[in-house]
Amino acid sequence: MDSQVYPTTPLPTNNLLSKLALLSEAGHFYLEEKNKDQLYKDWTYTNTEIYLREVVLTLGLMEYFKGESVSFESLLSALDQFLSSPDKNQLESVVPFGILKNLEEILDEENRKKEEIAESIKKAQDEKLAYIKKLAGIKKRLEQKAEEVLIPPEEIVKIAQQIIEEIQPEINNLAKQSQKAIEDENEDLEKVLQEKGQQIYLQAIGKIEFPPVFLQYLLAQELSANTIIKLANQTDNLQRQVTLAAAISPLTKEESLLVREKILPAVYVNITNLSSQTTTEEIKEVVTLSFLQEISEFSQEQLPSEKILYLIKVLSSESQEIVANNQEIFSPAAAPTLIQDNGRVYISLTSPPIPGNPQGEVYKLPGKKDNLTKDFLESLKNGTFKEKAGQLESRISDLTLFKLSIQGISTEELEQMALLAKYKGSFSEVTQLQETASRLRSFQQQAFYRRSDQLQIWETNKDNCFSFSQQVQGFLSGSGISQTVNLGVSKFARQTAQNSLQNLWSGLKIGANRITSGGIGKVFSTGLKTLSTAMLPGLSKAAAFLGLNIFKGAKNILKIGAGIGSGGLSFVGSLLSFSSGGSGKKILELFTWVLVVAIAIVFVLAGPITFSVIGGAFVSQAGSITKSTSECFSFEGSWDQGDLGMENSAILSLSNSLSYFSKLCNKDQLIILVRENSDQWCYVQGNSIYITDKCLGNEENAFYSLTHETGHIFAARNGTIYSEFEKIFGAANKPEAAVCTYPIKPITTSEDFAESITLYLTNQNYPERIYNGCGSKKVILQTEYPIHYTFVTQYIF
Amino acid sequence: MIKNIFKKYKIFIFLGLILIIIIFLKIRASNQKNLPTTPLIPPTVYIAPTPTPDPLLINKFWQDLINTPKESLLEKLGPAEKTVITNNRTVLTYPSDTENWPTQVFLSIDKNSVSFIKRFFPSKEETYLRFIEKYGQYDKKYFGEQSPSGFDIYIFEKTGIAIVASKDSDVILQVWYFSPNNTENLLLIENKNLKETQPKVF
Repeated sequence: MDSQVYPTTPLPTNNLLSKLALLSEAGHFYLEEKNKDQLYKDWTYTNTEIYLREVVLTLGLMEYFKGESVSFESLLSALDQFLSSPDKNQLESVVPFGILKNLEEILDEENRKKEEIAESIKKAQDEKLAYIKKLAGIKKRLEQKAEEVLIPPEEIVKIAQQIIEEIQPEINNLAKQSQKAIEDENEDLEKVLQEKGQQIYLQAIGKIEFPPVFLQYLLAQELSANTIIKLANQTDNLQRQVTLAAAISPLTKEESLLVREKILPAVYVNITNLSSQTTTEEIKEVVTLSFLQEISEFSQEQLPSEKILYLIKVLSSESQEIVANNQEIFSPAAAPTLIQDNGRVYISLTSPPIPGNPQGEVYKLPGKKDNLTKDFLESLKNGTFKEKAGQLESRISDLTLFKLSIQGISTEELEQMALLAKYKGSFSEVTQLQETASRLRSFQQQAFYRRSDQLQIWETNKDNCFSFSQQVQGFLSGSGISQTVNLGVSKFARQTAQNSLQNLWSGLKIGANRITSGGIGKVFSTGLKTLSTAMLPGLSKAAAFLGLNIFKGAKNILKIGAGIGSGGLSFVGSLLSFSSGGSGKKILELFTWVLVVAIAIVFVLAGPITFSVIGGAFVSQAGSITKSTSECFSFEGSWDQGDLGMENSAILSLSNSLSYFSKLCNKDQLIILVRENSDQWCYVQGNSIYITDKCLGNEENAFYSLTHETGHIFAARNGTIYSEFEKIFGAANKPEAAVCTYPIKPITTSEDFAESITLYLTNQNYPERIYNGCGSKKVILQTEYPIHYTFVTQYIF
Repeated sequence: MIKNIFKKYKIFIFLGLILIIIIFLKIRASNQKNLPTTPLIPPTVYIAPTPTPDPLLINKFWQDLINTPKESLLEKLGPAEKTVITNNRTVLTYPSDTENWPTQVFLSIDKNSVSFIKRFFPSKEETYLRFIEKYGQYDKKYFGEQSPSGFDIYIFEKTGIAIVASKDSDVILQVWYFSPNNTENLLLIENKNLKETQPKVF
């Protein structure tokens, strides 16, 4: 079902490929200094550089010139390497839809000529590059810190000997307890032993005279219960010396490599986004969570517990210095949640929230009741880490998946990223992304697919909700209500947003259905305070998801009256007419009431809101097909769920044809799909398509009819293309008869135009379709109407 | 006691507060709308535009042909490529820049003078917006054969010009010429294609 939302196999149009090839050609032309002042086709040097950089940044090709400065040559070389893939014909099916659409749009010939577009792209690029630069700077600092050798390895043995001599009598006293701890596997006893042993160790260090650098290093060490028990049970001092030396020695080469390549990136993708107001405890929490995120890399003792504890300590203090000087605040576009580095993907728990989605810091969530980081650190000290690693991994995984969800990142987006990684040959990324996608899917299903009908409701409403949400937002911004929301966020920003997130997280943990199962009264008595602070930031989006049901509920509960209409969707219609300014004052007042009720219901229905948060009904930074389609269509009239699903499915199939879809859609003027109960054919008036029963029935029919009707709107919005069609096929001596599949004869040039598009797309989507207009047979545009076919492929697809 | 009442009705108090905030913001928003607005864009230095030839100058040529005697027409344009009968009128066709789409010159019923001209696929510079800029707002709008594709008929009655144009795309398919302030010929010739209300497009 989800695959309808993010097409996994878009129609190959070669559009992007040819645009990228042209960009590369222009790049090669400008490699010669003397050409820089000249035009290459319609490209300028500046223009070429901006678009080269954009492609490289958007497709994540930075790795191709790792270590080099971002010069024109290296940008071009990155693009060329990408284009030289043997699978280049697969390009369009591997680039995530949001990225593909963005690239296609910015590389569009017309858009490319607009200076303001190039300027805004450049501005955004500057921010992205600044972020990357900052990331690289922090990476370097943390690497240096982690690998800093304060005591040469050869000194460690001597130092260990000194310490053992000092602690010997006291450590002997722990032997009995240690034996018991091993026999009983007593965690509390292990904890006590660790604390005692650590104290003995610290006291011993204090008694010996070390150079200050050595002392600083040794004081930062935390001996684990395992080491203490081992030391206590050993009788031979040489053995003890070896045990202690292993615990306090610096990282080995292998360990260094592991830390640098697999663990540190998780730390710096989290640290980079922290503001200078972050407290010391919070920074330590973030560093610890970063280690937890990569727990699978060291859960089999690839890294001794002491070294993990030491690294967390020193990296936290280094991060504190870094964060204290952090003045730059990046937008979500520049500071992404998923960051690729060295062939792996890291998830930032601290990336800036997407406007309109729930706000707050995910890294603060487990601190309150969950104590995830505390449990992790204790398990390292107590020597229980290995046993607890699985459970810890599952807990950090939930947190990471929660972050992905509220950032609007979907399983489909991850799967498409995996395809792109495969295309680039980065196979470790592929595995990682696929695993994350699969984990995200089960996380979301667990969270909100508990009722059997919930899945269906979700699927059928999802796209429509985005569209509705836009209308709600439009209305809210016009009425000043969104200022209330924004004010709410900025004024009580931190606490309110954090409470909001905490509630969503708790809702998820205890099960959304259980929140509502107690009935409204229970929620009022127990949850109103938390709920009321929770929902404001994501209100409009949440209302969007609930739109169809919430207003229906509002009507039933408060008996608002017949003016609203019989169901949720007719309310959407009313809302659309409000926002277009066509209604009277009374209706506006009525709407205010409805909105108040809606807000109240949003507060009450914590469960569904949690569904919408976790289910991804939020804006994704990369953009998504759901967002794109909602920027194209909106619904009006009384649609039943089945018809709505059918129509949404038709829209999604249509949106697979990227070139057509991008020329058809205009987000400032949505195409309104009005459900009409009549026995005639569906029809178009202005920007509205009236969908009757004849144009539904099954997905094939819905697709065929919708495509034909959009063909008329396409003509009106692309007058130059229609004009060319009219020149050829409207002439008295036209070269080819009108396409027979249109059932109403005689066929006018306008209908011929819409039908050419329809037959082209229906041939691709439903090749077996039988056309009554041509005597009930299959018709192939390419073979039976070759001139029409050439026209549509040249001008439209 | 008061505490209990508050506890019992806190949802209503809360809803009431939200309502008050919304009403307050609405009043404020409507007040703000009435405030005089200050220009956001600072005044810029006026730079005289480079004079470019008016792409609509060509209309003058065709407008001047309306009502001219057939002889003058032949003097100016030469012999017609073809003579056909369309809508009971004699139509002389002259080649245009677009293959298969000659310009049609309709003669009056007595065949003595030019009463109506149809020019197809004018240059790309002749746009809907330029027509509006030059001739002012159209006087009438009709829906015609190309309306299903968004091309409606806009009539500039006083200037004796009509265009079949897509407002959304700013593209023109046809330009028609007739006697200023007299749409009789236009309506007679195009009668069956003109509709005053927007038809349903199936």
